[in-house]
Amino acid sequence: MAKQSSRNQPNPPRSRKQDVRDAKREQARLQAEKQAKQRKQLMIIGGIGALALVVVIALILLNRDDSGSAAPPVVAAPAPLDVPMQGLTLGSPDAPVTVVEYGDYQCPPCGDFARNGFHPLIDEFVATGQVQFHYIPMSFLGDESILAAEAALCANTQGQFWPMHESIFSNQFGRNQGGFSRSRLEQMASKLELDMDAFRSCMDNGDQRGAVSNYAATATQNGVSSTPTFIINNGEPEGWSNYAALRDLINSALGG
Amino acid sequence: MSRRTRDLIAIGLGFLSVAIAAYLTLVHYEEELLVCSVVSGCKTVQSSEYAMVGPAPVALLGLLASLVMLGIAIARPRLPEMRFTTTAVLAGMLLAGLLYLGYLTWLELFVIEAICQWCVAYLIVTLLWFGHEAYDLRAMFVTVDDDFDDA
Repeated sequence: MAKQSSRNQPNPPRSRKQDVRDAKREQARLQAEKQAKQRKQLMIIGGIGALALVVVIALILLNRDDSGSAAPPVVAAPAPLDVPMQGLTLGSPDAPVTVVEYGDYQCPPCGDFARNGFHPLIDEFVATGQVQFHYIPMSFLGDESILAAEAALCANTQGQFWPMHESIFSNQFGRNQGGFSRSRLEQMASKLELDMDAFRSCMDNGDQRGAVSNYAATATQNGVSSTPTFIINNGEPEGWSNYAALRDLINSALGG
Repeated sequence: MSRRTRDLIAIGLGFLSVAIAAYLTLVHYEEELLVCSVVSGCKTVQSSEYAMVGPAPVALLGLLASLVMLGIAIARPRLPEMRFTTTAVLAGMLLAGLLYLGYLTWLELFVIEAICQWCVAYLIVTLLWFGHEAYDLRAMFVTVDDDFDDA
């Protein structure tokens, strides 16, 4: 009833001051509302931005590999191979099939072959006189690839190419991150009981640097553009996926 | 530019992003991939030790992120009341992608020393898409009273 009667009564005239005050109040309310919305927007953007940053940092930490950390201690080379060795060649010269591997000591897939394909290949085909295996260092992945190849060739001057070759692949560590620093290569040579004076002199004088360059140039001239590349009986270049695939190729060359 | 056009551009960039990420994922899983290549940057990059995040290939993570972002871009026109939030989420994901792709590009240039052209293409698409979403977000932020419905 009271409402009804108040509705029927004419509104008392509003003063100008009241109008201004109401307008200001409305403006302040709208302003506060707008600010609250903007604060909420900023919180959404800030929260999502912070989350994005956390995700990126987590991804980088998970992806970091061993960057920034020191190379692990040098591990000993695998057991010596029980097959004829001559320089960078393994196996009988009378073997019906030759397999040439072009490799870079820093290339992870070359390391994968060294760890998972090399010994089965030696046991199954080289030790049985069916394959003669050659390694050609194609050093294109940086200074440590060249240094590692020099170390392997310096070891070769002492008749120890293959133990050094295996030792280098066993100690792969990133790319140009100190895995094949001079001191680590010397530790590998020392573990193999090489004549260290001769080894250091060979490395210091760069006796094998020219040979390393020549091998790389030869590989390029032969059209090899990736490592590891396998040439079986002078055939087409073949890549590395797994030992079963390589064995099939060798068996084909053997006519099996 | 109308909102519909902006949505269509975002969806187009999303499809492009998914296509490139799918190609990179396929390349990663190719058996022949196990090489260090003198000439083909993508194979070298994809077979490097930096191509994995834990057990998952980076390319696969990129593909999953692209699919999620494409899904959001497609759903956004149907959720007008959530436009600001969906756009902010997209911009955030794209920002994370950009930062991570920046890190990967730094790795390519200075650590792996090989450039994967498709990774660069993915970076460009992500950059364009982020610019697009950031512009959209800024427009909504400025006209807060008109467009901002869910905040």
